[in-house]
Amino acid sequence: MIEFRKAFFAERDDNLNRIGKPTLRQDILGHVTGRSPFYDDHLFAGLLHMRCVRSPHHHARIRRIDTSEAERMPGVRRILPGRDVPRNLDRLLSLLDFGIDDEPFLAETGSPVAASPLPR
Amino acid sequence: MACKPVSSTLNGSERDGFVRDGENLFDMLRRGGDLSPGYGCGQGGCGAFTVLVDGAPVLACLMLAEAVAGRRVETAAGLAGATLHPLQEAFMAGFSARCGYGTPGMLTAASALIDRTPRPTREQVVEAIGGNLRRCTGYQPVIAAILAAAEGRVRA
Repeated sequence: MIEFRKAFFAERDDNLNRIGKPTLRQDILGHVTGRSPFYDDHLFAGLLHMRCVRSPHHHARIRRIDTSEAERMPGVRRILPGRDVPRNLDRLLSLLDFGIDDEPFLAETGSPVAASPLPR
Repeated sequence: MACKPVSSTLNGSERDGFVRDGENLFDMLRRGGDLSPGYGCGQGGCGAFTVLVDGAPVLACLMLAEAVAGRRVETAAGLAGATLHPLQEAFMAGFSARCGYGTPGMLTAASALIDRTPRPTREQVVEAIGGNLRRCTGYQPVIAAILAAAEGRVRA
């Protein structure tokens, strides 16, 4: 159902003889026929949904977090506290700007969306 | 959750399916695998999910799925038949899509206009796509493409 972008680039012609001539964008056919995939069209196997919970108070020091109720929710795979998020800048979770002190925890909830494409 | 059987026509083919209570047309189309229109704001503000119901442009994110029972739904994926729709040709030639996210909504809105008004004025074009927000392409190439498609169109 989803056609990845390289499918539209299959006919790519790199021999530069188009300079000075009108040309078409290489992805335009997918755009006008609605076949171009966008970020939320991708449903990978084992995809999980994540919900971030942030501190309700600015500059508050977190002493403890009670995650017991979240853990009991059906489908919850893992609860990830802010202190377990690596501070490497190349990690997606770091880009969400979770610090050790200022952000409480990150609950990774939901069951994988397998076959049926669910809207968010 | 209660489900209700709903039969409608999607892009020319009959579809029998179930909709959940309160499900909107957007969710129904996505579940059916039509990914052509994009999800924008979900509140009817952006027009990215403009589809045609019985030929009239509607915002699928605001329309209840069961309201299309027995009606004809068309999305941008259904514009092209054996060949591309003239609007699609014009959008391609006119560089009228950049990221392409809002393009299907623009195309459906424009096709409704051209079906109703084969030779629209520039003002009519602007009004017809007035509900479609674009963040990257800008509006001028889109307006130019719609006018070009209308002028080159031969009504059968």
